[in-house]
Amino acid sequence: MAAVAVSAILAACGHAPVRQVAAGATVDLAADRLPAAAAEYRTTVAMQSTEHSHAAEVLPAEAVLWRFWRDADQIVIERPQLGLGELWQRDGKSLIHRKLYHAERRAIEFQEDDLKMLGSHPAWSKLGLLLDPAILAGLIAEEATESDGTSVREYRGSAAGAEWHVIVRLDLALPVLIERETGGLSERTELLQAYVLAAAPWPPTAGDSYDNIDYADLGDKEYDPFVIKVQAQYGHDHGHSH
Amino acid sequence: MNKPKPSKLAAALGAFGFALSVAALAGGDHQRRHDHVPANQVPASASEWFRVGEMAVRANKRDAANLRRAKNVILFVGDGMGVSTVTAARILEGQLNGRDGEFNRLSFERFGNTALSVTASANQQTSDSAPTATAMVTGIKTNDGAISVDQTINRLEPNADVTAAKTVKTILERAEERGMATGVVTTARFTHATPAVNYAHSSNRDWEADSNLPAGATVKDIARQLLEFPYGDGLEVALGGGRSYFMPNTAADPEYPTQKGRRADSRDLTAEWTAKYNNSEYVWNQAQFDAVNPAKTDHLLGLFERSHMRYEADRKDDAAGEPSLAEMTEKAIKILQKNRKGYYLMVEAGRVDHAHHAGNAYRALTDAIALSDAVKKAKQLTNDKDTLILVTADHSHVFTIAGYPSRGNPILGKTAVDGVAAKDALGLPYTTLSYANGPGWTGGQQRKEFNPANESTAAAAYTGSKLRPDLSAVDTENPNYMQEATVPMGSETHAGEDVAIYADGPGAYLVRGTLEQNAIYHIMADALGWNDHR
Repeated sequence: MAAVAVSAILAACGHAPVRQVAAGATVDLAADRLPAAAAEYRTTVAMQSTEHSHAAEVLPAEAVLWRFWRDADQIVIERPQLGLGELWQRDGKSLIHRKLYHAERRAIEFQEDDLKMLGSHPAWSKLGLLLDPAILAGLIAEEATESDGTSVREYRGSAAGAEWHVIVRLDLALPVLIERETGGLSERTELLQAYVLAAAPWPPTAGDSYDNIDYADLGDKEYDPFVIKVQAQYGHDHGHSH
Repeated sequence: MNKPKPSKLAAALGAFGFALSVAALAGGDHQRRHDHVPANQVPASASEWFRVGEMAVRANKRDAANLRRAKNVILFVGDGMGVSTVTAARILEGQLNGRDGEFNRLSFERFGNTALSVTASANQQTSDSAPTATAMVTGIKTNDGAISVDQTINRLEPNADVTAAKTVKTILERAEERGMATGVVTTARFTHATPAVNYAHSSNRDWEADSNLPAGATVKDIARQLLEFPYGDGLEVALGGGRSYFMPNTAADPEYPTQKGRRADSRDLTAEWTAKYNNSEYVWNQAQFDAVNPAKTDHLLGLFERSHMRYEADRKDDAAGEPSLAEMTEKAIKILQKNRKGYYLMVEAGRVDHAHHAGNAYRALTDAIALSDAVKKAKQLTNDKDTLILVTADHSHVFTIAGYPSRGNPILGKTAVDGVAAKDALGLPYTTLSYANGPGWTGGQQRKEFNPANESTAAAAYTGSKLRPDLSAVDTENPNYMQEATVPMGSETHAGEDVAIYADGPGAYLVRGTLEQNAIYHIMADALGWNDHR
C-alpha cells in the first residue's frame, strides 16, 4: 500500500503521532522488551449471521474502546465501558495474570499453571505487541514508510486460519491497525491515541487493594454471587477465552 | 470337682500372655497381609486369577481385631480424591512405570482395611472441603464453609465470642493438650479449609488473612490463629503454601518481588513464628527446606508459594524449588517422632481438587500419585504396631472413567478396543476420562483445544453440524488437555457419592462398612485410647 494510503488509514484512526511522541528509531517487534507505551484502541467485531445464532449473540454489538499500558514487566488492558481490566506481570520466570473487576473491586488471579491448563499461556512478546510476532512473520511485509514523521510498516496475508491486514508503528512497536477475518468473523482494531508511557494522560485503575481470588479457588466459592457471575461467563467461554 | 482359682500371678501372666498373643497376631497378620498383595506379575490364566482371589480371601480371614493402642496417627487426605480418581491414578501410575495399570495398586490401596465414607454435611448433599474436613478432625458434621465450628453458627459470624461458643475442639488440639506433637502438611495454602480445620475456628473458610475479614469483625483470621494457637506448645510442623497470608501488604514476596503480602495489620507472622518458638525455623524454598535438621528443629514453618504450591506436574519448573509431598511428609515425621508421647499429623494433597475444578485430569491424577508416594514414605518411617495411618478424601468430583477401553489402553487416551478407536453416536472418538460438568464443555461449537506447538489454543475441529469436536488429531494425553464436560460451568464441581477410607495399623479394624465421615475422628480417638474401653 502506498504511503498516502497508509496516511489515510492513520488519519481515519484518529492517529496523531507527531504531536504525542517524538519519532524515534524503529524497534524489533519480536523483542522481549518493547518500549514503554500507552495507547487507546477501538475494536469492532462484526459477525455474519450463521445457523448457530447462539455464537452471534455473544459478540458485542458495539465497538469497544480500550486502553493499553506496557512497561518492561507489566502490561495492563482496561475496557472502561465494561469496568474490566487485565493485568499481566512477569516476575523472573513466572507469568502472573489478573482479571480485574473494577466495579466490584475484586480480581481473579491466574498462576502460571492455571494458564497452562486453560491453554492461555501467551508469550510476553505476544502480549506486548497485541499480536503474535509469529503471525506477523507469516504475513507479507511492505517496506517501512514515513507518516507524519513516524515509521510504519504494513502487513497482509493469511496466517492461523485468518486473513490479516496489519499496520504497525515501528517507533513504539504498537499496532495502528489490525484487521482479521475468519469464518464470517470480521474484527477491526484501530489505534486512537499513543503515548510514551510517562506522558500518558490516563493511568491504569489501581487494583492493588482489590480482593484477590485465585482461579484455583473458584470451584470452592460456589456461594459467592460475584464468583457465580464470573463462573457463568467462564462457562460460556469454555475456559479458553484468552 | 472345682477348678483351683488361678493365682494373681497366673492371672497377670494370663493377661500378659493375651496381650502378647494379640501383639504376635497383629505382627504376624501384618506380614501375612502383605503376602497376599498382588505382585507386579499380572495373572495370565483363569487358574492364576482364581488363586489370587482365593489368597485375598484367605488373608482377610486371618484378620483379627487389633486392639493395640496407637501412639501416633497420620491422616492423609486427598482433597477431591474420589474413587474414580483413585482408580484412574492407579492405572496411570502403572502405565507410567511400564506396568499393567489395572493390576497396579497405589501404596494405600495395599492397606488391609477399607470403608466408605458418607460425605454429606449437615446442610449439604454435596459438600465443600470445610465441613468435610471439620467432620474428620472434630467428630461432628457441620455446615458449608465452617471451620471447626458447629452447625448452629451463622455462615458469616464476625463475633469472636459467638464463634468461641460454637467452637468444636479438634483432634490436633486434643493431642496438644495431651503433650503430643502435632503437624499439618499440605500442598494447598496452609490457611485453606482442609489444613485450617486442625488449628482454627471460623464460620467462614475465606477469612484467611485479616484483609479478608469484614469491617468490625472480632474473630481472628485463620493465619493469625496458627500463631496464636492456645493449646500445648503449638504445632511442631506447618508446611504448605499461602505465604502471602502471613506477610504484611507492605513487604515484597521473597520469590516474586513484584508481589506483596496480604496482611493489613502489618504483622509478619513468619517472623513471629521464629520469635515465638525455640529451635524454630521458617523456610520458603527447597534449599532452605533441605537444610532443616529435624534433630535440631522443634517447630518448622514452611510456606513455599504465595498461594497454593505448584502441582506435582509443574513442581520441577518452580524457580525457588519446592519439596514434594513425600519430602514434606518425611521431614514432618522425623520432627514429630522425637516426642515420646506420640504425634498427630495431617497430610493433604490439596491440589487434586483444583486440577479437577479446572477440568484437567492429568494434574489431578499426578497429584494423587504424589499422595501415594507420601503414604509410602510414611509407611517406611513408621511402625504399624504403633502408628495408625488413614487415607481418605473429603469429597469426590464429577469425574468418570467411561466406555469399554481394552485393558492397557492409555488412561488419558481415547477409548479404544484392541487399538481401534471406539466411536460415539455421532461417529466421533471420545476420551476414557471426562467430567459431568466444567470448563471442558464442547457444545455450541466453540471449544478450543490445547495446541502444544505454541502452548496456546486452536479452534477445535467440528465436522459439519456435529456438536462434539473431532478428537482424531488431538493429543488427549498431553498434560494440558482439558477433558470434555457435559454441562458448561466455569469450574467443574464436587460430587456427592461416597469416598473410600483406607487404614493400616492399630485401630484400622474399625474402618469397615459405610461410615459417616465424622466417624473418622472417633476412629482416631479410639485408636489413641482417648475413648478407652479396652
